[in-house]
Amino acid sequence: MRRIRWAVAIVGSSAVLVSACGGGTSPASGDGGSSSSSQSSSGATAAGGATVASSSTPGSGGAPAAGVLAAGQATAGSFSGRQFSYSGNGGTTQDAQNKIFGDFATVVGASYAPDGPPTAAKVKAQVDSGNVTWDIVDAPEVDLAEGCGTVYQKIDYSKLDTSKLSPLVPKQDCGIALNASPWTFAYDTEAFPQAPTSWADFFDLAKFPGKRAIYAGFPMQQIEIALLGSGVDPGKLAPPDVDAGYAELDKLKSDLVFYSAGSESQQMMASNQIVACICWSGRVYTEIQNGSHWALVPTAPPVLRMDYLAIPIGSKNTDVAYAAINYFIGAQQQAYWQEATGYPPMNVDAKPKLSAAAKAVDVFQPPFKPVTIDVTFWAGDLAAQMDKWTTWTSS
Amino acid sequence: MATTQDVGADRRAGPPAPAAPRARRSRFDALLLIPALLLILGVVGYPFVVSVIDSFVKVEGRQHAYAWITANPVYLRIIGRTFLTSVVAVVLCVLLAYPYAYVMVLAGRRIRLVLTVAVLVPFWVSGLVRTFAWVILLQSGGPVDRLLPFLGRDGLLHTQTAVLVGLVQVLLPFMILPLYNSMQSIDRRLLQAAESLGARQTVAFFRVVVPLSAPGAGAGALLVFVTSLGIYVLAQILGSPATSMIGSVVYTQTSQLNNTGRAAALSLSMLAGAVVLIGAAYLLFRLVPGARRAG
Amino acid sequence: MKGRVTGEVTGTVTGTVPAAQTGGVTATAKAKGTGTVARHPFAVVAAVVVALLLVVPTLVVVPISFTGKASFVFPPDSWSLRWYGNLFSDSRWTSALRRSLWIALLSSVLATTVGTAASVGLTRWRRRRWAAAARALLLVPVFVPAIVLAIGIYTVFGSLGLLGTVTGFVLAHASLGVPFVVISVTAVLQSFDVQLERAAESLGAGRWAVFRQITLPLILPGVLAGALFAFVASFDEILVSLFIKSPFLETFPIRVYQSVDNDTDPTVAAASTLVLVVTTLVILVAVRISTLRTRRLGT
Repeated sequence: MRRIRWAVAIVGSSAVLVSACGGGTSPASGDGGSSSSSQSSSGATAAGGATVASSSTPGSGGAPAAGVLAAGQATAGSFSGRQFSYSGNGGTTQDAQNKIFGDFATVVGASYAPDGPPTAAKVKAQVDSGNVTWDIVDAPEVDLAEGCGTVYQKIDYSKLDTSKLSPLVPKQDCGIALNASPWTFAYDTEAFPQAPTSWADFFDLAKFPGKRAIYAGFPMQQIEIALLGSGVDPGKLAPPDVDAGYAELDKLKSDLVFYSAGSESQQMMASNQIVACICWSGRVYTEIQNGSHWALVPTAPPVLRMDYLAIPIGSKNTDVAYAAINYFIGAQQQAYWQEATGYPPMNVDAKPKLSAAAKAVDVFQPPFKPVTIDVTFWAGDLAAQMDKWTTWTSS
Repeated sequence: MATTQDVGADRRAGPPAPAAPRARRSRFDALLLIPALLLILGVVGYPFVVSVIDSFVKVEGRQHAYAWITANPVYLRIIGRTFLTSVVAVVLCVLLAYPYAYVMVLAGRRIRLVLTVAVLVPFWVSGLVRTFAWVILLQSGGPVDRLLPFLGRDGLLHTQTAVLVGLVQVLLPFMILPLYNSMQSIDRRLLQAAESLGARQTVAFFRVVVPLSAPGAGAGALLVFVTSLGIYVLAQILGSPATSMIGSVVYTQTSQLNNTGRAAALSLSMLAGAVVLIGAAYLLFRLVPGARRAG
Repeated sequence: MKGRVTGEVTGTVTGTVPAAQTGGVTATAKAKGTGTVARHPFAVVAAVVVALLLVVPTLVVVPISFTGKASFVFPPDSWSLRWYGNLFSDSRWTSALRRSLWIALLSSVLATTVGTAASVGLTRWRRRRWAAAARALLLVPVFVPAIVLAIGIYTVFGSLGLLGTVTGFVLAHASLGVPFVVISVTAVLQSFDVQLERAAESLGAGRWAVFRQITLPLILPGVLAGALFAFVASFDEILVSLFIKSPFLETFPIRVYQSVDNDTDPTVAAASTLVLVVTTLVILVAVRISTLRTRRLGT
């Protein structure tokens, strides 16, 4: 008995050992949640060297309403003593957002609090309770369309300089374009004697045989791609004929594999498991950098998945939020955005320093002609569409 | 339990203790349970009740959750697949655990030590780390693919086989440990008696060891089954939509669509199915004559 | 049957019994010798295969952690230590590791405290039927599939604002740890000699003094084993954690999961190797010390 107790005690004391060893392996460093705020408050140089307006002269190229600063400008000290918060989804994208918003805060003299995540349920809960702590949030396109006017404020465009915003991205009533993830036609350059040129080729197993991968997570974008493949004009995707989309996808069923995360799509590309995929351009770019012989089909229109900057109803710092958003969409800030995150800039004047390889996958530049989805349609019927998608993928 | 009875007996036999403190003591002992019960009731019990209510009351997409499940047979199919996968995992675990535990019992000290460490190390190492190891091994062009190329053109990753291999490896210690425990307590003279009466090794094993260790196997099976039902991450990493288990659907309904009523209804339907299955297995087990004698 | 099954589960869940028995292999085993095993060639072969299956696959993370390339290609064709550099310099990894250790420590302390108190109460409560019901309730977290718990916890924590908070994690993880503590402490308590307590009491010691000076030292091994299990139950917990996390509060397993899911970055192999090595060392040391002790006691 005593022996057993002793052995148990040793196993027990090893708990302390585990924690001690583990503790020793993690050197002290800034803690994840608040590191960004310290960074922003000390941010002496503005992102991309953004200019600080000394007067309220409108930007040269655009025509914002009188009294509105050109995009990317902010008046020094104009919000001194004020505060605002932004709720994002963490990771490298929020690091870049924190940098830009932090710079804005430094210029105008306000204090900035980054937070997150702004899940639809959380934003709605804040708005419903009237206790809104976020002034700007990252809203995915479908959530934005669903909550426009009930959760998110209608944007007063006269308070912003949107003249330089990319025309490729549709204006939303309740949000300003923040981020575009392009879904593209990627293919193995050694798999076919001649390169594919359109989405129709993706669905043509006779001419371009071999396994294809698509994303397992949701039907949006991919149904539109299927419709493009079946010959629907890119201008006539709203609303999408979902059943026709599934019929087109059915043609691939025998040669279709699913990936459920970006890294999986990369592995499939790298290991020659597939010859083509509907993949995020960023993943294809990484694979090309890793030495894989993959390329995009520029003439097959990429379909964008959009995120927007939105202001929740009941925000107590709406004026600061507008000024911050106006600053965020400036050319220099957006150039910094692309350099830091690899996502396309929303300002047409942005001049990021990019490598030739990075330019080759920049879908906002010709010959790419990106299209977007009908968010109102998807937002109105999301749960039922997800049931349909689950049924289709899991059979 | 024996302890408490002994206490009572001792108390009665020993010098008379004052009555008042004894009553207070018993009440005090019950009070000791309160913090733990509050924690479990608050974090497990109350949320469970909320889930049950949500699953019946919440209307999402103009539909009650259970009506939605019946309208979409795919979800019942996925629940069925979850059960099937878990049952196969249990069977594989039983088949692999029996010889292992048996050798553990029979082996000399050194070998038993090695075998014990071999079970304990994976038991303690994060299941997630072991899942990740299978990603490396099973990926297309990976070691398994090269050693056994006939298994599949594109590697085994993201197939049903991969999910089962991962499940069995992660859950095997849950089967081996209780089995070893119950085999260890078998009186070895029974085995020797059987053998001395001329029974062959295998016969002795199946007629003596298997029935007598059945409770251990039952416990292991229960643990493996329940754990496997709740698994989400392993199936997500090693499987594909065609092998998806109910955990993935519950997670999508919660995190992507915020339909907590539907998520609750799905998980409760699975729980109800599990209770029925376990009950059926228990009855079946009692019907097997040998097992009843042993139990 | 039901009772026996629960008993077996109990043993497994704590794993203490086999751990103790490695040390406690005694005369009976010696008397049997290895001769008995040798007569079961099929079982031996099967056992060897299973042992390899249990141990070897996991080891693949070790070479991958030293790869020179940003890929999981096995075997690696070039070598480097940079993924370990990454692990210790990337704040996402270090903060996840620190958070997990902190949460595991807190929830282990909470689970051990309430679990030990409950075990003492359970073994002494004289209304046995009520005690049995209470015990069953405390063991519920082990017998309900984690996904069922997760969805309820997500809903309730959401309405209480506990999602993505350390408090939320500690409460959830501690309640998952309570069964382990109850199982291992009641196991020790059942073999506990109550006479000692009564002797102390009769000598005039107060309740608390008796607990601290007599009871606690005697049940300490069970308490420590329970604490260790509660610690690991938290440190390794992924499913409930995925529901209650936020991007700003991620635990180590969540980081591993997201890394496997999102990047092809061997840093996750370095992290896995670290966990593997530390755990193995702890077990080997524990087993080694307990066998040494046994041998001394045995001879």
